Formats: sequence, structure tokens, C-alpha cells
Amino acid sequence: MSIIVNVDVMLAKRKMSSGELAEKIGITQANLSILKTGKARAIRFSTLEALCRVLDCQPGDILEYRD
Amino acid sequence: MKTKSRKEIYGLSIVVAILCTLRIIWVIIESFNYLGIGELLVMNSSVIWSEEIMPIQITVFICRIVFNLLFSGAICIFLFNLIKENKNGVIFPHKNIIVLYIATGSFFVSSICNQNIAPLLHWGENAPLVINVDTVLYTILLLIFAFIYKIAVNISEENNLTI
Repeated sequence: MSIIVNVDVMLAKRKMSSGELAEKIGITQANLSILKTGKARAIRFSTLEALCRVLDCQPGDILEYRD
Repeated sequence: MKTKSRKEIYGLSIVVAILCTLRIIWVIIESFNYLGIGELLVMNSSVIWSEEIMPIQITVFICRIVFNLLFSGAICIFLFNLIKENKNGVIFPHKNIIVLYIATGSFFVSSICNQNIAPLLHWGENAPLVINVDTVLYTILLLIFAFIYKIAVNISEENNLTI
């Protein structure tokens, strides 16, 4: 997949655990893991919005395109 | 899946299971009659086992039992997988794709055998080979359903990876 989701970097900056993040955005830890490992095929705007709200960042801070 | 839809599927699955069981019992009883055991469904006095076409008669006789069993079994397994996986939140189980293909193939063969067993055993060498247009039509429809089901499985799996 060419779109990388850099959640780990933001988690480290905000000093938050994966479990805590999953709970706050309303997804399971398994799904968060799928997102972090690049296995996700798509992300809903609602999930992206929740991620940005909880991590206090912009979509561009967590989404990266690699050729 | 909504509770009402689930209950409808359960109800229909029970009906299908009963019908498949009855179908198999009917085929087995008729097969015994063709072998000269009992005369519940077939007057076995009119059955002709011709030496000239015996291989064809035996082949159709055995294939009829086997593929009817296979078709009924495949349908029951399809529904069983559907109900079982639905409890885990999976609407379109992946393993049902191959089950549908098996059901389609076995339906085609069993239908041809069902249509031809009586003429073969009552008319012997004079029996014409019968392939009903409905058999071909329903087989194609089942195949189309199998293809659509496969697409549904792929979409469902992709949806599961949509976070």
C-alpha cells in the first residue's frame, strides 16, 4: 500500500498508548493495529476525524504517500 | 445482520434442510426400486437392465445417487456455513464460494441423470438422451449467483479492512 499511516509518531509525541487511542476513537485495538501496519484498505472520514481530534493534528501529519 | 433477517434465514434453512433430506430419501428409495427391491415408487417389473447399454445405465444410476447427495449436501453446507459464520459477524463466508461451485456442477449432473434414468431403465437402447433447457438455464443462473457471491465476499473482506 502506498499510503502510510504514521500513528506511532503522533502517539509518541502525545505520550499515549495504542490501547488508549483505540478506546478514545472508538475502534478496536485489532483495527488500530491493521491501520498502523498498513494492512487497511481504506479509512473512513469519521475515523480520520477522530484520529486528528484525539491526537490534535492534521490529516497530513498522519497520512503519508510513498511511491 | 438484523434479527429479523437472521430469523428468516434460519427458518428458510430448516425448510431447505427438510426438503434436501426428503429429496435424498426419494432418490434412494427409487434407486432400490430400480434394483428390484420394493415397488414403492417404481414398478420394477418394467425395469430393463440391458446388457448392451449396461455401462451407461450403471453410470447414470450411480451418478444420480452420488450427485444428488452432493447437491443436497452442498446446499445444506452452504446454509450451515452461512448461519455459523453469521454468529461471528461474517455475512459472506469465504468457504461458501467453492461450495456454490460444487453445488452448481452437481446440480447439472444430477438433473441430467434424473431426467434420463427412467427412459434408460424402461426403454433400454431406445431411450433418447434428454437434456432439458430448464436444467441448462438453472445451472447458468446458479453459476451467475456463485460469481456474484464471490464478488460479495471480496467486497465484504475489503470492507472489513476499512477502518
